Amino acid sequence: MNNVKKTLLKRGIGYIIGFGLLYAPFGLLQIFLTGVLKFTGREDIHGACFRMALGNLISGKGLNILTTSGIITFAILIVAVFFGPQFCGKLCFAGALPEYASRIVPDKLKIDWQKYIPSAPVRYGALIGFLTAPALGISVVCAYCNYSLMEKIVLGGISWNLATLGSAAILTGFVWLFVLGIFTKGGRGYCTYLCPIGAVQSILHRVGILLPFTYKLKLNKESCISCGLCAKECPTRAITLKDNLLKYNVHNCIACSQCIGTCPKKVITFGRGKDSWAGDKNEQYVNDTEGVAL
Amino acid sequence: MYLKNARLGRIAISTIAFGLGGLIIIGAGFYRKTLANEAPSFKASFEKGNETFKEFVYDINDQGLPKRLMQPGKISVSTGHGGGIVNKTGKAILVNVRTEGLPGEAEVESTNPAFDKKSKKFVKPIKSGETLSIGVVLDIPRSLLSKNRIIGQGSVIFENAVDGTVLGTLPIKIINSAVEE
Repeated sequence: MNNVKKTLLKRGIGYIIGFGLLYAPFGLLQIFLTGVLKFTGREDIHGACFRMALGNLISGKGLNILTTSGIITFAILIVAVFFGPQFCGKLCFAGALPEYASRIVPDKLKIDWQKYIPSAPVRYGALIGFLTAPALGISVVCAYCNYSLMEKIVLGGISWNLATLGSAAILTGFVWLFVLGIFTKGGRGYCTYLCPIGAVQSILHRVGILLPFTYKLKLNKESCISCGLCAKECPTRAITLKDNLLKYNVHNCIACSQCIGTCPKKVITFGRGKDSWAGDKNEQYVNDTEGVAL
Repeated sequence: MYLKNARLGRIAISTIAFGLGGLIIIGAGFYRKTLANEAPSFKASFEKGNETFKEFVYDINDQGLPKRLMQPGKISVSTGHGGGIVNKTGKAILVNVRTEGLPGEAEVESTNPAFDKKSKKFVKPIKSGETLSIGVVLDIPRSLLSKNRIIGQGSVIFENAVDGTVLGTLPIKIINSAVEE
């Protein structure tokens, strides 16, 4: 088994654990939080809802930390500051499903959307839209939730009886699994363009990497052989290779470690210290033409 | 000069992309608002007993295109997100829910912890002042949806599971206003 497959397998185990922890019919984390630690909340994916917690925070209801969704949201945010978007890269089953499924679709059928539309500003714009929606009297929290849809699909698969879906949920499924999923290069189009949870973590990670004691993706430029395998394997196109320039866009990175596991020379690492990409200013989407000359 | 223009170009593209992201979400929110009648909810409370709640009318013609294409016959009659039937009887009641005369298949569901998902029954009483979240999922065959204007009528009956008395009845009418009478 080559490094790519080994890393995919290793990551896959993480996503399955993530499913067991957060989604019904298991919801082990919520069961632990409600049963053992006596927090209030539901034992399905709604009990881990980051979006509802964020929505409550913005609408003035505050973040009730003593609930399952409050504690899980708080943990995701803290981890994002110190270790990056680990939830996205290591546990999020809803993000991983289209990524893994896209690997069985031939490349010629997939669109590299990022060639045409930069994802980071779209995602941050979507986050602002998500946060301002309640002020406009509209709601996008539950109707367009791919997590809830994911759970419904799995539970429907088990009981062979799919739950009632609204038009918004059907549209979400179409975009998340197909348009921005299996027919998108990397399969993580929904994550990189529309996910508000990922957007918040990316902002925190972007701030976090400025601190020397936080964990970040690092490159040993001297030992890199310019094979481009990391760029080819990156599911979110955070690493790209163009005109012999290796570019890293921290706003797209989900800390999945696919590049680390794939690199034949092990020159990409995840560790503390100075941001090794920063000298090239290539971490910012507004000036990402500069890069590491290879 | 070239670099400056390229940089300005990238800033412009990023700004447009940022606006596009916001507009997609706001647009999605307004689209959802236009489909409010696709998943209507009802409000009710148990008070004196044997009450008939306001008739729940579901119009198939209010469905959005994705719903009409994929799942037009699968309808939920529910108390909605965060809603529920309030127990104002002043005592704890163990509720039994059954349906009568509804078209297609009907299944009771609830997110309430007192609801046993296997037996589809409430196994714990609902205390006074508490709310009962409830939904009835109807699965109506596609062939019935465009035959008549009134697709079917029936009711959801809420009973006291201990003594069998009726707490309330929710009349339901499923119509397709696109079909002429």
